[in-house]
Amino acid sequence: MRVLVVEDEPDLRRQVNRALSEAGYSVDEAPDGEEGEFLGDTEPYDAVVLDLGLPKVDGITVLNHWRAAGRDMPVLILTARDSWNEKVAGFDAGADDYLTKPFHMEELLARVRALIRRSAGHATPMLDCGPVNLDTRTGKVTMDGSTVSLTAHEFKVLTYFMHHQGRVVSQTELIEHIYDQDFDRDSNTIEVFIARLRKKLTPELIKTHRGRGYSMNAPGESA
Amino acid sequence: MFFRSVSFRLIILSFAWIAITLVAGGEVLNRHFRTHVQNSFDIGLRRHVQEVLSYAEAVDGKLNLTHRPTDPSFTRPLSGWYWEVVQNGKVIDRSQSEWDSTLALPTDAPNRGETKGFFIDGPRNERLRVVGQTVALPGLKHDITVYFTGPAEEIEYAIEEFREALVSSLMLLGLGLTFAVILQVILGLKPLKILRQRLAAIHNGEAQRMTGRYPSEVEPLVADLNELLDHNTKVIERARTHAGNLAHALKTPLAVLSNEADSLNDARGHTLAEQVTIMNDLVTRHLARARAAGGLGAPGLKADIGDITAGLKRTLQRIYAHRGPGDGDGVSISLVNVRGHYVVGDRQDIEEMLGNLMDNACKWSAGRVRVSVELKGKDTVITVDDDGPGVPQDKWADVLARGKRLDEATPGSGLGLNIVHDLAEMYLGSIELAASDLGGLRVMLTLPAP
Repeated sequence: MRVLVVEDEPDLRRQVNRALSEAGYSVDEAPDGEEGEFLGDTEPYDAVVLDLGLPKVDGITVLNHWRAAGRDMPVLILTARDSWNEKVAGFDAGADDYLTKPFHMEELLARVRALIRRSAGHATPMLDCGPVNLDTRTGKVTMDGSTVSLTAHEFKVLTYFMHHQGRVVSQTELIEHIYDQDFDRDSNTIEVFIARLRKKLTPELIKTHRGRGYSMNAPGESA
Repeated sequence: MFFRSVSFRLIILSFAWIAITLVAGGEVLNRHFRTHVQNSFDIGLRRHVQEVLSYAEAVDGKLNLTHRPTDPSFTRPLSGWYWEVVQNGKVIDRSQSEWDSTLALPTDAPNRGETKGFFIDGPRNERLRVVGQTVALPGLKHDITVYFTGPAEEIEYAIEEFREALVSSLMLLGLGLTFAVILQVILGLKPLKILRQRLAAIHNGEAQRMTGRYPSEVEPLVADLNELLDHNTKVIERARTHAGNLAHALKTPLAVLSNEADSLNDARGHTLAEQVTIMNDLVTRHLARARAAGGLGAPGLKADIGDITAGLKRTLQRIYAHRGPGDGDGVSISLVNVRGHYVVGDRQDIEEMLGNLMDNACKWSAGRVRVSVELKGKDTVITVDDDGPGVPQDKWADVLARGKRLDEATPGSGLGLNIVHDLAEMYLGSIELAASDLGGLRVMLTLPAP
């Protein structure tokens, strides 16, 4: 899951980045509206944390541009502007949630988690696929009730599949959503992660579609 | 109240002036006319005196009239038209019309050559106008005085007739002048009336400045007023921008501090987090007040309740769309009769009050919130109902009190209701709590309507 953080205050940006990374997201940062808008336009994000008072282009304008261009990733506005007038303007511009500063990091993480979950069409924070269960709140993965320990990258791959069950996911799509933009992308590593997941969980969980990608289905279902 | 009206003063003063002028003018004209009529009457009588004198001659030391006056009035009995010739206090000749009576003429006859006019009472007790002339006739030892009389009523008739015409024409003139004065006052003071209407429009929030052209006497006032209004708007705008900038400048560092405090995870972190919360509450509350204080000074502002509540409904339904375990059903907000209602004040302030009230209702509700508006006299009353657990009556005062919070577990700073309370007081409104028919709390916000 890739998240974009657009925030001009470097300390806060660092804190949010760290918290989201620790929670298993790939995080990109933008220090101003211009760069934020560009990244949101060109990279496929699963969620955006957007400040309103930004240098160069303000947050509301960035959001308006994204929505006008058909970019529909969930956007959480994180701002010091706490008047109702500004909240209404934020939601009317197409925000999905609104959090005012100062905030608790747990609150931010919970909101981002809920946004991603809802945009994938899941009602509960618990994702199931056959015997595999993923609690998005804790990041705990269980197989037939017993905890499985995964590396950060394995977890990211699994989470993406769990959110998009029953659909063929191409390697490129997977790479885009798992690595942040600065990561040296290598498609071979994806194959390695999938092989490890099959081994740690169950082999029939992830199917290979030659030339198209992979799909995750509960046993007995097919994509 | 009436005496302070310029129109009333002008009209009253003009009325007094018109009345005094007309009465005095009428009196003067009346007097002149009486003198004139009396003089004309005397001239007629004097002509008769001259006629009789021309017939007079002395025969053997006695008066003899060769002819008598031909006018039949002097032969008709008691006609009021009489004549007498008096010598040495004795009547030596007289008109037939006197019949068997004599005139009560004064004993002092006019001096020789003199003509006198006066009034006496006649034989029928009627007023008579008398003209007498004393002459010396050659051949007579003593001077003779010739008196001619005519009924004084004839003078009075003429005067009465004139007076009637005079009064009616003066009244007509008075009426015309009155009408002209009223017209003049209305037309002359029209710019003041327009000025007052425009001021009322600003007061009611229908306009932000004075518009239109005014006479040169009023123009400087209007220009100054507009300058003041513009200045006010600018000052408020600046104050609000400052407040916003300050909020942004303070809250981002507070967010950084708060996160660092959370990550410390010990007693120091806890103290730090507590202090950050206190600072944030203070900043939030004082900025809300600063913004509102700005909004208060700006005249000509009104806020559309229908518009504001529609925006807040959109926003709150999204904020609360997924509450409860799993993804809840959210909160349904119904707006009842909110269209076409306005309150005097800055839109942002009113939105802040309503946003806090509606947010509070959504926070506590089990799924239903209702906002309704009604006009009560000069006030707009906005009622927000929820179907939550409500608040027991003995805690109502506490809810509105400064900085208190009933349930620490409820998300949010707990400042919502008392910020509304502060703002409502600044806007000369009030906030009241009651039990809602939906089962929860009812909050009634009363604000002045335009």
